[in-house]
Amino acid sequence: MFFQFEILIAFSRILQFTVVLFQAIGFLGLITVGITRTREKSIIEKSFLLIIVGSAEFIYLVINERIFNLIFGLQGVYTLELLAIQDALNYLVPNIISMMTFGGLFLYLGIRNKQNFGRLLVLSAICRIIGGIILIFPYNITSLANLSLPITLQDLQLAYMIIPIASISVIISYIFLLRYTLKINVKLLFYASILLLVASSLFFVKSIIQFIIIIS
Amino acid sequence: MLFLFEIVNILSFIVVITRVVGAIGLIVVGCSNIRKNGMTRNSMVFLIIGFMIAIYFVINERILNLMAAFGGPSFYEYLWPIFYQLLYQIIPNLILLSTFGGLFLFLGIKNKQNYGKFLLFSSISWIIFGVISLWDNILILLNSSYIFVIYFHITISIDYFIRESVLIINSNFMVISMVFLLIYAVKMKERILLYSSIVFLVAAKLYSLSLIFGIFRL
Repeated sequence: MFFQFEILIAFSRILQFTVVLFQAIGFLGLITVGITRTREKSIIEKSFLLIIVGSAEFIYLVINERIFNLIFGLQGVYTLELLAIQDALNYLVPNIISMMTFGGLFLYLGIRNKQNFGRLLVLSAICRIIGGIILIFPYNITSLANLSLPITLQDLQLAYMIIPIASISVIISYIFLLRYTLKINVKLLFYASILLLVASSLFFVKSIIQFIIIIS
Repeated sequence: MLFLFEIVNILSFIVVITRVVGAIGLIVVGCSNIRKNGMTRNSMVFLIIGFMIAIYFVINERILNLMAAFGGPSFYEYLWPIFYQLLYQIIPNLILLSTFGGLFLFLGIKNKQNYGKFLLFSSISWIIFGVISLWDNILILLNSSYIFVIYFHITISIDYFIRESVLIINSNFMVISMVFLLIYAVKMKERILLYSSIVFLVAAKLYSLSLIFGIFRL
């Protein structure tokens, strides 16, 4: 049983790495679509927002571990607060960024282009916002647990149970995004959203594994 | 002392971000070339270079953390410095050497008539820079400082000073390489490549600056 437990932890770590890799390629796709469309059709709202969404998410992926290392370098010692900061930088902050970009900006874009299949974008954004809001709760719990605050095992189990449920909402949001890209017929955007969908599905699998680990 | 150390770290942090932004520019150049002219050699080279640089800087910290998680305490004790040197210095240098050096050399030779000579000069400068810094990285990995100190009867700080001075001089080759890329972009009237090379030029100057600050740590 112990051996299997170790394998599960290793598997979840590798899955997290793969999620980041798929997300990074997907975000690069968004940026590329945005810039190439800007070059071809001059600056239009849609392409500009794609550049903002893609670059905000991609640059964050590049810097989050480095920000932690900078803080660690300044502090010098590995403390509980630092562990909580690391947890927040890895999960809470990217979730909020995604809520603002995939949620907020795509909602705005969807409302502005309602005739042009924009309702799919609105649905995608709403699902992402709902998933993001639900995810804030478990991420807060895990950060607090890192600070050794009085968090019971039941709280932690509840937190890890909520994460897969919320990630279903995120998956649905990317399915709507995929349908939108199919309708507007932009091939590169379609590939990028497939990658993002795969990444969110892998994240779902990882969260299920984490839940199994925490209850066993 | 700690302040200087942090300045160097912050500069390295900015260098990584600027390089990634530059790499995104190269991907865009490659993609828009593919849309305009199909899968040409030119577009593929830009796409590969941009993609390799952008993705590597996302994963290198994570690979190290993954290894540390699997390795446990013994990893921190023995293997951390080796893998740190490999993932932060040697592999990025090899990637940059094979892309800015190798692929641009190939492209420059193939397109000699079409302002390709600027790409050729850029790649040659980068190869000089890359080989010297790779050599330095390997010397650090082999813990050569102790050998030099014993063999040449010098202090460790003098060894550090010599090594840093060589690297500062060497970093000018990277700047020259980016200036040639800039000229190539201007001649080809490729706007995104121009912005991208400006960003890479900034990264090169910041890298030099971080090395200069590094020498003050003595």
